Amino acid sequence: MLQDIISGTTVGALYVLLALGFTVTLGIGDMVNLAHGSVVVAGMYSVFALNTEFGVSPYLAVVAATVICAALSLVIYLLAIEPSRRSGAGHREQVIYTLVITSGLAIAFQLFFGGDLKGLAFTGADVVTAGGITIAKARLVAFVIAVLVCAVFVVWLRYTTSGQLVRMTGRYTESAYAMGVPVRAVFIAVFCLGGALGGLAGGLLMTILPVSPTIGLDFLLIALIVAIAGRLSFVGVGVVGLAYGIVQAVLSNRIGGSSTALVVFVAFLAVLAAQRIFVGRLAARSA
Amino acid sequence: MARVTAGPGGRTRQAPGWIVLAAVTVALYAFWGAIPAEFVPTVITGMVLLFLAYAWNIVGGILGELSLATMVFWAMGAYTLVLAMNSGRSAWPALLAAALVAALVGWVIVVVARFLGLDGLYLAVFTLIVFEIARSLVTASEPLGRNEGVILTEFTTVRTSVYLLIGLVMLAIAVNHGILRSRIGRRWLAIKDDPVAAAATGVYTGREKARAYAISAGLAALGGGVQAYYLGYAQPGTALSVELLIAAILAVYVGGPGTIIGPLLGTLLVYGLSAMATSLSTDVDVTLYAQLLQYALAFAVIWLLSTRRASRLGLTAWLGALVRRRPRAVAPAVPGVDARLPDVALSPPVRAVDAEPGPVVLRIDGVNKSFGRVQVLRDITLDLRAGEIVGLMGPNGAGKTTLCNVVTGVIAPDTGTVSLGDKDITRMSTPARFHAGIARTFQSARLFVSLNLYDNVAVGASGGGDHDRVRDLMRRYGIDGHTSSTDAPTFVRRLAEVARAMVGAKRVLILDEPLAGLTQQQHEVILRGVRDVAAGGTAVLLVEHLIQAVAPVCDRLVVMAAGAIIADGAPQAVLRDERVVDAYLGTAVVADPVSDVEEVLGAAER
Repeated sequence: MLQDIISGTTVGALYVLLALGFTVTLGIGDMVNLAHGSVVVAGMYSVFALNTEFGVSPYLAVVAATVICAALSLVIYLLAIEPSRRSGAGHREQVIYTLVITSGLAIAFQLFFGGDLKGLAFTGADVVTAGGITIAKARLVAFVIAVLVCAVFVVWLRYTTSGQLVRMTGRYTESAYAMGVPVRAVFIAVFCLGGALGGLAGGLLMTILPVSPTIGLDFLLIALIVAIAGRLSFVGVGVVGLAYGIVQAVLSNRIGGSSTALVVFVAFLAVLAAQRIFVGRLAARSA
Repeated sequence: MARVTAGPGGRTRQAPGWIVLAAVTVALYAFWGAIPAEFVPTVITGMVLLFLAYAWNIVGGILGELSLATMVFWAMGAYTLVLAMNSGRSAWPALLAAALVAALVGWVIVVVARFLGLDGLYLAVFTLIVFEIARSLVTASEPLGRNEGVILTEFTTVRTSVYLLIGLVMLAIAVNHGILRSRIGRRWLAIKDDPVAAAATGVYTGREKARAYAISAGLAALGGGVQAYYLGYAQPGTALSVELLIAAILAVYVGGPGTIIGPLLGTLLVYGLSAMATSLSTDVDVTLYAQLLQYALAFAVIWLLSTRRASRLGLTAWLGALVRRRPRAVAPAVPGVDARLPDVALSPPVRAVDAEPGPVVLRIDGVNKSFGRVQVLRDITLDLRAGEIVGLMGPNGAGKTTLCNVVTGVIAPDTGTVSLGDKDITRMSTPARFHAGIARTFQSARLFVSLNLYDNVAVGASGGGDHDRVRDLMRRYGIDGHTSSTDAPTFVRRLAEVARAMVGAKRVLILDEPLAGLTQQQHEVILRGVRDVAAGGTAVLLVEHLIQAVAPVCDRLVVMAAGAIIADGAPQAVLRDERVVDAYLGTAVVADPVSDVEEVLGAAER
């Protein structure tokens, strides 16, 4: 049980990281990226390819994956987000565009890497044992990096001038524009940062879990559930993300994957209902 | 630009559509045998997609909600049919029952989502979660065969499948056609364009959404059943296929969401190419490349069309424009609004001051409203009497629009009541208030762009008498010669909006800055209409900055500042009130209150 909780916590921290990327794009920029799960998978495959094909060390590959995913996000932004922002069409078109992109990416992954599960060789080889608990070193490293990056990111956004400028540009776009803020650049930066966080999370996930072309939808669902149940707030995302990882780890060893997913989805709806009753409606932007 | 709903002569124009549908159905049944056998599977797969596209168009195209739960209903039909046939029961009653249950589930999904306060993007996410719940249930269930699914033990024929499928596709097209040609379609398109304005025009948005989901879900269940019948099995890979749904959504968006021909055009383009590619080879990679090509093509089409103004209607609009070469691009020489202006200007609208005040129609009593820590309405008490025109003014941020929102039910007050006649309507929904006789216009023009001008005015009409009124109002304002709601001049659109509100304003009419951006002559056209409405016994609340223009027609002026009413009385008296001047200028700088206040206020406004 304790073993499950600890391994669940390490995965949960990565869920927080990837959901944070989604939350930033939706909460600050009011942009919907249903391809976020595929960006995470792109991060995973980047690490896999760099490590197995070119022999790059895994953690250097993680850094590269972050950059690659930021670049991929730029492409997604230009293709899918900018047209609807310019025409004021809103979420509906962003959903359609990013849905197509995510489906296309899933197929591209399959063509490049094949449809089967791929994992890194070193995963789980090195373990640390303390007090009867065994944990893979890779998980510990991933956990520490995820927590550090989340903390730095949130502190930057909350407490520095540039972070506040970014947040306020999202909320009062027209005023920002009138005051000479380069609004377009800020929105691109927000979107790419969200993608970079997703890519980083994916890269770190690759060091502990195998990848297959179609798991992007799973990561998208995780991002959606964590971001929405966490009400697009940083604290909420942190709590829900960790809880998600722990519940998943504890239950899947006992009742199997499908039933775990069922429990999580129903719990998500229950959380929404509870929030509706006790807190009120979800505001579109609260980050 | 392609128009999808019936115009003023709607009823008489309905016949050809149905005749075409019937003729195509007969032709399909008659000539099906002519298709070479090796193409039959490809055509069947295409028809399955076509059917799903039409079923999805009802919710996603006409109503504009991105439902991602459609495959749940599809699977309900598929598994029900297979299980029923395997257990020796007759398949079709079971499938019909599944369709009814699916419709009920679709309805429940909307009701639950409403309870959870989810709409727009969050409703789409909710439907995605519902889909995932269903998929987990199926893959965890032994009787449903987990990932392998259930195989039909009975022998089925391609011929029967084809006949069923043709019937289904034509049924789905007929349902789309029926919706688009009726008042229901008008309401759904209005919801897609602007849910708030639709609700204020008497459309019960929640009820209509539930209805659309139910119809779409019932159809989807039928489609799933027939697909399973054709394939001979039901399994998550086909009955719960995300790829199939995405292809259908793309078909709708490529062809033109909310149009009758769009899903067909979209399916031909999206599916046609990939079908050709896959028919060349059975290699898995070829299938994948074909699918990738399909996505890229669909994306490119939607993307390219979205840079045009007609993007909302996809290929349909583009083709429509090509075919017609815009024969009515030049505004028709109808005796339009401007031609009538001099006549109006000759008789300046001035009201008899000593008119007998009617009974109180609307009573706002002690209303308070705060947004967070900002109190925007402070103890507002105001009566409107039948036949009275009340001007409501005040500086920006005084709370005028919030007050309008409280009266129409868009915003609920924290404390206080709103009564219509003797009835407390504080908790009544916005559309219910419209049907009770309260209607409004919005500060910024909010015409429904998917509807033509007539349908815009007629959205709120409920009975036959209302339709006479719509025609009458449009003729009186001289806008009956215009058809497009997007190409018409600003003034025509404003008049249409005012007329739309007037259709429902049997007791109270609220106009939020109806004169903004118009010329003085145009002011008089609108104010004259306001006077006519008031003469019919409707109480009018006129929110306006242009005091010089509205004061002559008002019985009373009410002035708000910082969320409170600071003056209420006869126009001349109110305009000379020192507090009113203060409110506009900030400090008491006017030494002589009898100086030309209008001029001061006008200057302050500018």
